[in-house]
This record gives sequence, C-alpha cells and structure tokens, in this order.
Amino acid sequence: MSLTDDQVNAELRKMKAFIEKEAQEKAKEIKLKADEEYEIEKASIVRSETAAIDASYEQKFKKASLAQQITKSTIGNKTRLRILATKEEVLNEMFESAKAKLSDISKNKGDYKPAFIGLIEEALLAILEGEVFVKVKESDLSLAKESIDEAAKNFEEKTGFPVKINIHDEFLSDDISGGVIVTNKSGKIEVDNTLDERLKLLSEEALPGLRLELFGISESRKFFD
Amino acid sequence: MFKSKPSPSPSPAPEELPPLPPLQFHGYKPTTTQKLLTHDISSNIRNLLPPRLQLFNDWYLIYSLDQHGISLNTLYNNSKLSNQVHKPKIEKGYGDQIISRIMKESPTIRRPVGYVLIVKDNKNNKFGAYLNENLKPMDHKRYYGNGESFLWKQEHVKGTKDHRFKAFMYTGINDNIIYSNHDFIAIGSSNGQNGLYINKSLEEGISYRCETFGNEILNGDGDLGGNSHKFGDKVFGKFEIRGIELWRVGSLD
Repeated sequence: MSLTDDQVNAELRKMKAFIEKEAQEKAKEIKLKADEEYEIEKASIVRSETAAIDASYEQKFKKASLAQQITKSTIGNKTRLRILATKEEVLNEMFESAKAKLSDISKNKGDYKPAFIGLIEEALLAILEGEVFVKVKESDLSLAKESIDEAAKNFEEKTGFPVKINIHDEFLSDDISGGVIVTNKSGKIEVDNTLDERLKLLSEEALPGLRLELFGISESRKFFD
Repeated sequence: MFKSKPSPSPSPAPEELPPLPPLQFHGYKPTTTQKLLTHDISSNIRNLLPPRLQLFNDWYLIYSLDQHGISLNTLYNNSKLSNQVHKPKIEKGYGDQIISRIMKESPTIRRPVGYVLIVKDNKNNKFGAYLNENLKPMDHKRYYGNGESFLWKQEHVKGTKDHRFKAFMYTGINDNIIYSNHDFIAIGSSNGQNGLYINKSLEEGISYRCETFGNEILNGDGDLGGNSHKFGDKVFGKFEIRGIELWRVGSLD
C-alpha cells in the first residue's frame, strides 16, 4: 500500500496545522502566565517603592522638624542673653553716672562736712583703738582738721574711751572723689571709707533691689523664700 | 455595581421566596469587645453571595485581630481548611490517637464555602471583600479566586449617622482576583494598583481604584474622601488598620 503524492501532501498539511495550533495554544498560555506574573511583580514593586518613598519622606520630615526646634531654641537663648546683657549695661551706666556725681558732693561744703565727720566716726568705730591715722585728700586737709575733734568726741560718747586722731602725712590721690582712709597705729588695719569705695559696696548690696525696681519681677523666677 | 439603602433587617430574596432566616454568628468570645460584623453588613453581603451560600444561616469567625492576635501567619493558619474543621476531642489513649490518625480516611470532597473579610480603619470606616477561596500564602506568582468575589464598603452618609453599603462586583476586565504571600494580601489588581492591599504586619493598608472590580477607594466617602490623596490621575487611600475579621460562610461538616 502506497500513498499518492497528493495524499502525502494532505497528511503533511494536517500535521502542520495540528502542530501550529498546539504551538499557538502554548504561546497563549505562556503569555497569560507571563501577564499574570508581570501584574503581581509590578504591583508589589509599586507598593514597596511607594512605602520606601513614604518612609524616606517621613524621616526627612522628622529631621527637618528637629532642626527647626533646635533653631528655635537657639534663637530663644540668644535673645534671652541679649536681654540680660542690655539690662547689665543699663545698670552699669547708672553706676557710672553715679560715680560722676560723687565729685559734686565734696564741692558742697555744707553737706559734705557732716558726711565727712560721719565717715571718720564710722571708721573709728570699726577699728576701735586708742590711736589712729587718717588719710585724706590734700584739698580736704582743712576740713579734716575741723572734723577730727568732733568725730573723736562722738566716738568717746559711744564707746567710753578717748581716741587720738592724727592726720597722716601722705595724702590720697586727686582721682578719688572724697572721704577718708583710717588706719590703726601700726598701719596693719585699714578702713577704706572713701566715697568711691562706698559706692562700690553699695553697687553690690543694692543691686537686687535696683533690678527689681527697674525691670520688675523676673518672669523665670519661680521661688521667693 | 450594586447599591442598597441601609436596611435594618435582611431584605427578602428576589422572586418572592420566603425570607431567609436571620444569620447566626459563631466564634465571638464573650470577652470580645470589638465586634466588626453587624447584621446590617452581613445581610447586605448575604444578598450578593452565590445563591447556594445564601442558604447557609451560620457564619463562623476564623480570624479576628482582637481574638487571635495580630499576625498574618495566624490568619493563614486559621484559614487552612484542615485547621477549620472542628476536631472532636478523642478521649482515648495516646496509642489510639496515633492509630486513628493513620487510619484516617482520605479527605472527603467538601462543599464549597466562601469567606468574608472585614477591615476597620482608624477613621471608623468598615470595608472588605468577599472571597470564594480561603486566603493562603502563594508560592508561585499566580492569582487565585474567581468572579464570585467582590469588594464592598460601608460609607457614611453625610450629615447623618446612617451608613450606605456599596459593593463592587467582578468586571471581567482581568482575572487578577486574589494574590497573597507572606508579605501582603492583595485583592484586585490592575496597572500595579491593588483594590485592597494589606501589609505584612496587618497594621497598614492601601486602596486604589482597580479594573478588576471597578471599585471606588474603599476607605473614603465617594471618590475623594478624607483619606485619599491625589497624585495626577492616581487616587489612593491609605489607612491604618484597627480591626480585621475573617468569616467563613457555610459549614464544612
């Protein structure tokens, strides 16, 4: 049994059509699978990348807000320091102008004399010895001579024993506004009762009161005991 | 797309069939405080199920974030059919247990059941999906599920305390129904955008429009709800998850 050429061709065509169909089906199947895989892959990549971007933005936002807070507190600090510095300046200015006015005191003899006697007497009471030396400015020499007797008398009234007051050979320098420096006999104890020294002491003692008067109660102060 | 007005009682099935008896929920513990499933939601979903599943009066809780802990693996484990079957306690000796396990007949063909997923987000929106297959981690990159599945959401009606139930049925444009692995659960997908996506930690999720279900953003009112962001033509809604429940419709016995 043999096939004619036509029959062979027909068989071949059938076989070819069959193989082609199989191949097309397979291709379709592969394409579907690939599409599915593509969709899954794409969705998960989109998700994970979106999440990563979100995370990085969140981090950046955190950093930025932290930086903002730091800047805010730095500026706050600087401002506070500037306020404090200005306050100090005001106080210093005040004491400077007070010092400038000190010299006016010694010019007005009527007011100066009782103050001068008082200064000597105070120094005597501080030293409490029988013999002292008083240093004064050269310009105050005559005033000193008038004053020492009265000071000695006042001292004796208060303490009950007399004191001998000598005026020291050395004079105080002209830069000083006025007042006295009293030393004991040996010169080892010295009481500085010059006007400049008194202002210095005042500036330390009266500072809190002045601050309260000028700037009011400090806002950051919590306790008053 | 199916829409229904809020209905307090289950509406009768079409063609004047006798009304379905009310649903029974099984699985809530007496101590459970956060219950996501309400009769309003369940009756709306029930109306959209394949008729053979509408006949089941019992829904069983197989995973709840409140009762089982926050874990994707627990969700998958509880979803396994073999773990869902109620195992009668064998009160015989240890040897008998071994023998009965060896002698156990091959698993019988079970009646198909369906699963209802409910998610509650941080803005008190409830949404989810009906899935015709149990959720499982896929080793291969293959979608599963069929066209019975759908997405649903319950949106607030503006100015009232009422809710409107909306469902988004399978469109047939593509067959990318469900894909889940150990990193996420994704329901519906087109152009790399998932209709409902829940991440690995069950803490966050996202909802895009997708062609599989032709859905709106699930966690927003209308198309531009409070949670949705607009980037060009892409709209998506991000949400933080406050509760998840997975219910099985129908019994396995």
